[in-house]
Amino acid sequence: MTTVLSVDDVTKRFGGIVAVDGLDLAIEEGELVGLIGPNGAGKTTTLNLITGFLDPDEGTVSLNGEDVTGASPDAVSKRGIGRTFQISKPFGRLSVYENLLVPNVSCGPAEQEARIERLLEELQLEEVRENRADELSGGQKKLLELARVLMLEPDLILLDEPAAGVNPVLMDDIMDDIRRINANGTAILVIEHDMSVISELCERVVVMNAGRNIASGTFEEIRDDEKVREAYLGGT
Amino acid sequence: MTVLETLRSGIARTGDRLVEDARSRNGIVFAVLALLALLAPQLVGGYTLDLLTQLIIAILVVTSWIFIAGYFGMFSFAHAALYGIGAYATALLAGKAGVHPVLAVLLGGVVAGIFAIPIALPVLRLSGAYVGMATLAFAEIVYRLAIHFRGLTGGPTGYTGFPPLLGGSRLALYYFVFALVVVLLVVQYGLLVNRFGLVARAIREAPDAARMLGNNVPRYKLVGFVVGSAIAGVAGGLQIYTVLIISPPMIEVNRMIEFMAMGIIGGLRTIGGGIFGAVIVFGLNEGLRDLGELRLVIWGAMLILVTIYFPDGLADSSLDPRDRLRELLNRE
Repeated sequence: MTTVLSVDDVTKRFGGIVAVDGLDLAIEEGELVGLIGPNGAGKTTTLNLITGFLDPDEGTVSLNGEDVTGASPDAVSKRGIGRTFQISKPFGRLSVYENLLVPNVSCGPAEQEARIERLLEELQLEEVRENRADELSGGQKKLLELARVLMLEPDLILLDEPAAGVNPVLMDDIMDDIRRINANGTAILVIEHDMSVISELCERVVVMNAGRNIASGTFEEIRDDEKVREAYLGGT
Repeated sequence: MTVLETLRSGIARTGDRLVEDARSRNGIVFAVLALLALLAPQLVGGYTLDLLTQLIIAILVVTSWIFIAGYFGMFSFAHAALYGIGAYATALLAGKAGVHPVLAVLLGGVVAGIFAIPIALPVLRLSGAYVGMATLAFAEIVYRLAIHFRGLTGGPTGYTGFPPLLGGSRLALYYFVFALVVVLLVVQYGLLVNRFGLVARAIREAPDAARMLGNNVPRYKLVGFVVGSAIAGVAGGLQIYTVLIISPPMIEVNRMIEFMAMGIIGGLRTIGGGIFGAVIVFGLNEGLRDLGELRLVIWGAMLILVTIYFPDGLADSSLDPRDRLRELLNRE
């Protein structure tokens, strides 16, 4: 197995606060990994460091063996990382179809069109294709974000709280979609607070606390880990 | 795709969209206005024709502001200043450097585009109200410099030492302005109906997401800001030939507010909004000139009414009263 993403000893400080503190994290080809941790553990900061929205103060980020530390988000995206956001960011006044035209694909227009049609169908957005994106439900917005990312056919997708604001029925569909995308060979890193989602989806879970990677293993393993319990339940 | 292929498909798409849009309500309105504009010199002359020339120039300024503010969401207050920079550059190139007036107009656009770069750089890193503040400061600096550098700009009384365009013929000037404005409107339209405009709108809605989808957002914004500003510069160069003077009042913040009012009343979502807005506000300004400062109250009131009842501006709203009522009742 080759390593898709490797975060090595990355630190990020905001003034006196160390948001990410010597973090190590690696994702192998085709893995489906959960990233959990209490609020303020540094999960979203980690995503921002990987995707170039923030530059690390120390350490390196590499994709497929290539150093991308400090690269811009568009450059990171071109190297095969897709990302969704904690709060959905649809292009509200654009139609669903137009939203799918925004990703800067490397293929020609015919292939682009084919991908759009396939994704509209697979993610059940066919009926709302001409609707404005801000008219969609919370769950549909998440699906649209996922579809947009898939247009780029990335090697790794980072999902920031896919379950937030989604009704449970649609969440089952979204989980099926995530599994299917992963089965096609795309590695996925999911940040999620909903433990049922993490336990059902992820073969491996990484736990962060105070900016560090404190545990990694199957859901059962980390559930029984003393340090993880401490992080969630407090106490020192 | 090669550059040539991209250009060819872009032009083809512009043509297709033009044919499609020509059948819409706005398309018909614009076709009628264009026809009237072509025939106008047969119907009116003298001062009225000068006013029409100025109206057509105002349309160009407002559309180029919509290009930046409406499409990219960069709410620039520096547009009138860049229009003024184009105007001063044209006047000085034609008057002091002996450049042919037509070439001077085009170079005025280039100079405005160059001056737009230093203001664009902070704008790329800012959002919302901060864009307004930074660009307002820039506009004020340009205004003060125009007054201060008396030897170059003529100071507060302005500069008149440039030769007229096309031998000073009112009619020739009118048609020259009309033709150049139509060309530049089509250029803006062409950019906006293609990928450039799509990404611009995506950036307005969610810049981080647009960037994460592989688009070089800072570069798009820079190009948008510079192109829109250069077009404003061309408009400034044209304007000085209708009034035969360039002086600081042309670039005051009041002018900026007037251009913004035109954009907002007309609608910021399409280039066509600039045509609606310019015609209405310009028309009101001239029609109510006898009222003096009171007309400012009238278009202030109009601005309020439009933002409440036509939040997308007149170009993007149905004018059927039933639709208006329905929308008002459905509002949350």
